[in-house]
Amino acid sequence: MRTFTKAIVMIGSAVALTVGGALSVSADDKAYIKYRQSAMKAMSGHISGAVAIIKGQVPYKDDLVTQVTGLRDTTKVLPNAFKQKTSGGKTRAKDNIWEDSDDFNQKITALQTAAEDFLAAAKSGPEAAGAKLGAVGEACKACHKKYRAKKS
Amino acid sequence: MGRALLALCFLAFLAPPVIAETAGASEDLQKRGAYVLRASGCVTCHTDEENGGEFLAGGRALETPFGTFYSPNITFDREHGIGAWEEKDFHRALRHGVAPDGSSYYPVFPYTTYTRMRREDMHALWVYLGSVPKRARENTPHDLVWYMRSRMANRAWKFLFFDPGVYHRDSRQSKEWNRGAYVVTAMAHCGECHTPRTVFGNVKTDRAYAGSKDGPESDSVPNITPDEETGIGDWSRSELTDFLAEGLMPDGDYVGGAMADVIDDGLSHLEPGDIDAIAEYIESVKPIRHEVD
Repeated sequence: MRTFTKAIVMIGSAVALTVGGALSVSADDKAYIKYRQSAMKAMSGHISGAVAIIKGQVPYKDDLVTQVTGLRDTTKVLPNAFKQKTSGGKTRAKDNIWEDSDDFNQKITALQTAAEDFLAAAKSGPEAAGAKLGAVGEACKACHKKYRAKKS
Repeated sequence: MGRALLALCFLAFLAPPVIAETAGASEDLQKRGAYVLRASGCVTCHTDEENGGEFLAGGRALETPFGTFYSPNITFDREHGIGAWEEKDFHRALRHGVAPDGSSYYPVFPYTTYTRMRREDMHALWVYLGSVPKRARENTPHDLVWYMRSRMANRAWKFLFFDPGVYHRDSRQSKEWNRGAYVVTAMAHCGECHTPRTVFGNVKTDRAYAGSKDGPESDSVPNITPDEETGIGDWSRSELTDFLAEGLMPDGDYVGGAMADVIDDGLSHLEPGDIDAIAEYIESVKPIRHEVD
């Protein structure tokens, strides 16, 4: 009888450990996820600021280059931000980021190029910048379509 | 700017139905048909972009609670596409959801929306499709739950939930609103995903555009009613039109998922006047409090 109970307890703990392991996220992964998400938020923050200036919703033309430089610079941290594969946790990053990493990295490079063009245009003013914003959006969407899960 | 947009909408609304088909007129008709194709979101489902599929040759998988549907080839290939159809078959498919063999389509093909399309737009679309390169891609059979395998059920479904008929303009509303209502409810079929469905798969009309937890690909679909907290009531007009035309969200993020395809293959091809008209209509729908995510 005792052996039987022991066996049950052992199986039970094994199951608990496996399930718990799958659901929980290590402290390290949490830090990587947070780092990744800060980079994404920084980019959307700069885009949102740049759009407000380009559309003339705020009169801070002089800040446009600063905003777009911020965006351009942040695209440079993306390769590291997505280097570490994480498992579990509150993230919409899909596993195929690390399975199709060549394609993923090409898409990052495409974004970096679009951001450079955007910055070059921003130096000539909001109107020129507006013409280059679309390409940045295309690069963002191309990646989000394939590598970002929807909110669940 | 505002005036130019208005003028555009006005023109779009007035664009006369083309009847005489001389060479130049036929070109215009093709152009108009290509526009109807984009506005109606045909490309997103009928092109399997993810797997490098050819334009309008079908094969794109669409996962739903009823199983996986594979879109058919709508190029004019006689064997695998719709090249053997007559134009009246095409009109019947769009207006009544009926295939040339008399069977009824699954409502995953949004004939429930296309039924409202004006005859001249259907005609333009037909003419345009005839100009698209033919592709001999064989259709993939749907992979459905057992109770959905017979198309007989589609007839019953239609009897219960489908009202055929062209869009009637609402004379109490502006031209722009009517154009928006037409684009949204006769072509773009926003409500097919953004309105929740019952267990029978019909849309809950009293919950129009309130979003859904179980949309296609088992993804949730956002509430796009003007509810301040759970919908898009706090979006400005320009935030909404930027989103529709480019996928840019108010916080500077860019959309992904199925909506990115809807925008890239469809909405981004529309005239600014139509984007504005869509916004005018969507902003006017009843706000519904419904938390989706």
